[in-house]
Amino acid sequence: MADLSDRAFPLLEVRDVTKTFPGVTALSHVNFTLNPGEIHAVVGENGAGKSTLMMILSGVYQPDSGEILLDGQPVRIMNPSHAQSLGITTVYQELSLVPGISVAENVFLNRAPTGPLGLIDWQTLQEATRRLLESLGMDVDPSALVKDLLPSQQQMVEIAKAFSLHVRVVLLDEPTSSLSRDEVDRLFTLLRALRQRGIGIVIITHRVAEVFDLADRITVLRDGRVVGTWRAVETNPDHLVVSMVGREVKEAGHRTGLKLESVVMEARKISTPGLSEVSFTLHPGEILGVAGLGGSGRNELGRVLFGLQRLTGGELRMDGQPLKLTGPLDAIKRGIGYIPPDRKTSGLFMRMAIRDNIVAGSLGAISRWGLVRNELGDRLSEHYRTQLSIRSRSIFQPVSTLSGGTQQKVVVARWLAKRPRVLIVDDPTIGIDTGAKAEIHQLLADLSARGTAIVLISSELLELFTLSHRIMVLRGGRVVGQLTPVEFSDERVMVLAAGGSATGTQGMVYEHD
Amino acid sequence: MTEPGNEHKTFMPGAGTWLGRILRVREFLITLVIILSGVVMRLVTPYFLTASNFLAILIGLVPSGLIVIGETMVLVGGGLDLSVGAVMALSGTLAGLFMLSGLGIALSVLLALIIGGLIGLLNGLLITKIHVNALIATLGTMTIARGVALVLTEGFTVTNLPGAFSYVGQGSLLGMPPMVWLMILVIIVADIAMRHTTFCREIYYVGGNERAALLSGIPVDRVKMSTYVISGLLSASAGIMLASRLMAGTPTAGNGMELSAIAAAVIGGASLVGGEGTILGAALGTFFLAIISNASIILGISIYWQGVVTGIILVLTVAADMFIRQRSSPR
Ligand SMILES: Nc1ncnc2c1ncn2[C@@H]1O[C@H](COP(=O)(O)OP(=O)(O)OP(=O)(O)O)[C@@H](O)[C@H]1O
Ligand SMILES: [Mg+2]
Repeated sequence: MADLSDRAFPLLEVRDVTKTFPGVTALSHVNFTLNPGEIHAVVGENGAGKSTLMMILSGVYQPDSGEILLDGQPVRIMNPSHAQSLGITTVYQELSLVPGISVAENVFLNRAPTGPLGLIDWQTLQEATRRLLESLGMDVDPSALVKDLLPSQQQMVEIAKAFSLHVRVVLLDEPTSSLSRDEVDRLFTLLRALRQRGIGIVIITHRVAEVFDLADRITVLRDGRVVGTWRAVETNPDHLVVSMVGREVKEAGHRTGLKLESVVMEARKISTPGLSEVSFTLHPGEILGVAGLGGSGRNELGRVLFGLQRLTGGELRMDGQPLKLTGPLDAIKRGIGYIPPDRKTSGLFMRMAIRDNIVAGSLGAISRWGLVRNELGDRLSEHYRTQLSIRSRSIFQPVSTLSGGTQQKVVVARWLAKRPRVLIVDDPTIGIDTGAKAEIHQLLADLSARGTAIVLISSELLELFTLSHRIMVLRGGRVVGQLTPVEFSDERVMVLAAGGSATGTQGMVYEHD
Repeated sequence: MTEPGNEHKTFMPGAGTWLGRILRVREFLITLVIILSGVVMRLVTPYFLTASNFLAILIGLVPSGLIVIGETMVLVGGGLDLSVGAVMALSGTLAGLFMLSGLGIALSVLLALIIGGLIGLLNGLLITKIHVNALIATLGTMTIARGVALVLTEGFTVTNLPGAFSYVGQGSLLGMPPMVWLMILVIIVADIAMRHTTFCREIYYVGGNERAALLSGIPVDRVKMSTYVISGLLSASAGIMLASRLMAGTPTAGNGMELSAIAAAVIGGASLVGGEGTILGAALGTFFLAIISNASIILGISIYWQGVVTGIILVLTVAADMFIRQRSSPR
């Protein structure tokens, strides 16, 4: 391989590529280049075409027209394994791990080292995996089963899998959305090291701060078209957001006045594995923010309030009466709603239409005499499709054909449609673009203004600050502080959450852009 | 509020997609194939397209036509019921034995139905409460039900049933035995229910994504349990009607019926991963399989070939469906 041709052509080039799906132009005359040793960020709203671009580069889709050049030579990337053999490797937005087998086998899936007789050489496999994981700074046991790992560890394995191959180009589609801050840092260190080695990296993210942290160049997609490509040093976050959304995104003053006369829900020293003696009161129309690092018990709090996890001590009360939740059904009957953090697996009916997904929680409300009245369901879904700008052809489009962030919106819509008295939301805007994030915030604020009490669990401080009437900080399963709006500051929360010092702030994102 | 300004609302169903859409409606596809087979058979033999042959097909269809309804509901809910054929045999023989022991016809039939429902309930409890895999649970109850039927009769057919019992299976109401009308009625009611009732829509959600259904407030366990109970009840009624037609309770009846019911449901658009399928489709699938077997008999094709043909049809329909889906929408 002569390096004479250096700079003559980019490592990877996309020329005038168009890709349509029935009724949608996902990419329209897209041009894009990736140089060796470059980190190139692709940003844009939900449904802008980012994942589609990645999937064309990784051989999942074929472009309708246009061409792809590798080292200046036109190539047709036939399928994902062909892409791999060309040195283009992908870390998927959805995990593509096999849950029931070990980490090592997942990492070396179908490339496991074999001994004589073609049997898998387990020793070498374990050892190679251990070395790889160590070199990536990952603390995961190669023999552990993937299904026993935390979601963030699974993500790391997914990434390790990509790096076990001979790579020239790495494609990452929203790799950071389920990672803690520490893990994000480690991943970024890793990516920078790869850049040093001359590998080209394409990364999709919705976090503007990350883009500027990492990328050399930034390409903005909107409605399947390239708005522009800039060098990171030539642009700034505000400019970037405007070019993504096509307008300025304003977010301020969601908080409404509160009448603290009545109490909807009260927790008295509730405990459960991961949570001990947590107490709080919740008033109608109040948004109670819950902050905490990964493992602080913030997820457990959401689960226990929805009956997904049993109380081992303490008491929950609703409307002054003791509340013993036997499960989610019971919770829903009492007017409690829950938007889970893992919306892809616990929230979506993939093969069903947007309409059916939205009304899933409201079947009773749109039925009469045991019959579903479709016109009501259609109207309800149409309303939320507009309100949340759910980018789609119609409410009858199957959810499986929506972009990742758009799918998230559908789950959020289901719960907004149900209008519970108490709504627990766990990281409602992960993977959702800046513009839509502001819309979801507005909707949550509207809901609370109409009397719904909201427990807002979030890893994003800015989100907590814009919405909460009060923030409760958790550490090690205990409440370590309650802050009122005048006290809201990154530093205060981080100090409480991390226990005395603002270092080691894993699991929290504080993005101000 | 934001306007959905740049939304792609202008979805124009071009000719290609229009055809694609019709073809994707499985019921339409099967009806087409059924008509086609009818035409072919008409050209080959004069015996096929006659009123009496048609009636014979319908009468033969009753047990499987009822059973496939319950099986489809179970499949839509993401489950599987292997016990249908055995439950049919057990309830047919039990109804007969009850009658011989002097219980009245009505009471015997009722008891046999209840037992079918109870076996369904047992399936449902094993699957939802004890989390036994559906295949294993219903394989177990299938073996037990069949075993009990054989033990009670020592393998012999139960005969000498009271004459009045033959009315449903052999009598005539507007030119057809009442059981044929009953089957048609149940199919229509079940199909409409699956499309429009709140309860049945919930089955689709449970089959689509059980966890999401639970978190959305759908009583997952109750829904699943109900599908098995309904399947048990329908299998039992199939057994009773078969007994009425044959005037005998046959402990070996319905052998292999579970597999043909699943095949018919899948031909009709149901999916083994759940969340998909219609009663009309499944009924048409059953009808189609019945036509094929009837045609083979008329044409003098060996009974052994029928299994081969059925298998080929099953694989072909599913493959054709996957092909059409892939062509009309990627992935
Ligand atoms: N298989 C498909 N069938 C039909 N339409 C599709 C399919 N896949 C994607 N689309 C459509 O193509 C458009 C672009 O989707 P894509 O997934 O590339 O968006 P994205 O930029 O990755 O968004 P997100 O930030 O939400 O992940 C969307 O309108 C989406 O609905
Ligand atoms: Mg995407």
